[in-house]
Amino acid sequence: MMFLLDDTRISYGNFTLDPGRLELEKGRIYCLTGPNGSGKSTLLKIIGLQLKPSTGSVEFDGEKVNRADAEKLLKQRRKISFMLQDSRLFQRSVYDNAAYALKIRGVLPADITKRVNEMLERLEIGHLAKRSLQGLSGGESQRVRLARNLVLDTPVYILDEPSAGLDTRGRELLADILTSYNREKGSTIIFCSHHKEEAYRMSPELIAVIDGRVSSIPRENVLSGSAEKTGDRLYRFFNDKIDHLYFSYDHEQKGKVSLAIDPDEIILSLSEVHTSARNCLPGTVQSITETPSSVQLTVSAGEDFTVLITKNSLEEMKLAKGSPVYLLFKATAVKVVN
Amino acid sequence: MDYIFGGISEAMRLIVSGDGEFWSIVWLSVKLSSISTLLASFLGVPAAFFLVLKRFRGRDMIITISNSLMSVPTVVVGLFVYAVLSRRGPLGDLALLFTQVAVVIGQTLLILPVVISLTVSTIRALDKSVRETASSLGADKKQQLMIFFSEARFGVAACLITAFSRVFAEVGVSMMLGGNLRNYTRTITTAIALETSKGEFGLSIALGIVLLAVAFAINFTFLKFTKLYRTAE
Repeated sequence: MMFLLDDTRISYGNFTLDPGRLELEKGRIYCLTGPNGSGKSTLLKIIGLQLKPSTGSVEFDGEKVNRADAEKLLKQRRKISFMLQDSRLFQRSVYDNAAYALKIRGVLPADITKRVNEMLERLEIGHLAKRSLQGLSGGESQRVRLARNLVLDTPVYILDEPSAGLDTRGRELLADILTSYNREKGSTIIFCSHHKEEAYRMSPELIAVIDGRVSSIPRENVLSGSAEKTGDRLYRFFNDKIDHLYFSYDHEQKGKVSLAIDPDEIILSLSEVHTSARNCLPGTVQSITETPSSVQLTVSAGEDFTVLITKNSLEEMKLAKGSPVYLLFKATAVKVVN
Repeated sequence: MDYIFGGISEAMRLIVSGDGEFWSIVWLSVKLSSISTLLASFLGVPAAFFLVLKRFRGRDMIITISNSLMSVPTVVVGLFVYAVLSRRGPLGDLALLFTQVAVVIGQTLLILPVVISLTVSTIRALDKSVRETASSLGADKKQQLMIFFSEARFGVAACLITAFSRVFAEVGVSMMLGGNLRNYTRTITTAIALETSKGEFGLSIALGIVLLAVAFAINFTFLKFTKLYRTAE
């Protein structure tokens, strides 16, 4: 077990993050999913030993984390390469930024030079090594941040939105590096990302964080909005992106609601068909990612939906980026998650 | 209009010819303003870091007072120091009134709140993001402070440039505490005031040109520092 969060909880104003008991195994890849403001970054900070929970305990690599022992805590923190969502680049050259975390760990200068140059090359920003931050694009800056974290040889990498601002090539490089670290060194990787297609390329285990709670069952296609009763146990969901999405629910539901739809429950159709499925949403294929077991599609239908299909279906339907499709799913396939 | 053109032509002559009195006034202004800025930074920058890094009761009150003092008129500071340094004042025996030391004391007090308040607001914005990033990368407390000081350097420099420009252009403190004594405490601003009242536009305009040139130079330098500071965010 790499991390064990036991009954941890933290509150800010009206928001409470209450992941309960969370176990993260060594050598696995985890992806935190959930809407903005659901508590993903806070949870990553607690896991990364950067934030002290108000209650409960955190175990790291079999040892209980004791914040009173500053020296031990520092040693434990240095086994984790943690990248904050708003990680700041320092006012020095690209090379010096990338070398910072190694320098403060007392790594030998010759070793630093070799490792930093290798990492900058691997992220295809070797030519920027001597540059100051002035004039770097957003994507280049993000690659420098990544280099600073990925150059570390730690058993754990925790990355908050590592693909933010990266172009397709940057996201591919990131996924390749993380996958190789996991396969070759057995590194534990925990991250959250809005770019699902790159995230799924690494076949991570999903952890859903919704309204500060961690779901035991990974949730996909999480939507937040309002509900309005339209029939017996039938509700209409709407937000600023979706107007009509029907779900059935046995209890009274009013006002704000968060829903999740299992990607396996969604059927893709090339034309609008009338079936027993109450929901038929027109959309466009945004991305197609092939994983070893299936094909993962992101379809934009107001909100982005993740859909899983087989490789045969992909070939038969001749789907490509930009193809118009319809998403079909029953009202009972939509789960209320809060 | 002739007196203006005459003044401008006299000003050019003074600047180009290397007139002794003209350049000694300029030099004295630069010297006194530099010393005051240096003293205010030695006192104000550590105070600002202390106010940002340490939490204690009354901290916000001190920052609020410092912010309010930023806009105190120069003559009020001059009056206060005058009262302390005059013969009947508590430090009258030191006979500092109408000396360069008195001007430096007044100017330092004038810009101390500027240095403290601007530095506090600059490094406060930095504090959280720099230290959190350093901590996330494995820095211990000392290393976090080191990188914080290093990151603050451009922002602090920009604050000191602003303080220098305020003190370089002030007239109230220099006039009240220096007495505008020729070849001793006469600065650019006090000389302009005196020469203009005498109708000597040549020297006034020449000094005005230097004052403007320094103000432009300061602002360009400030812009450069601000750019460097913003790039890192």
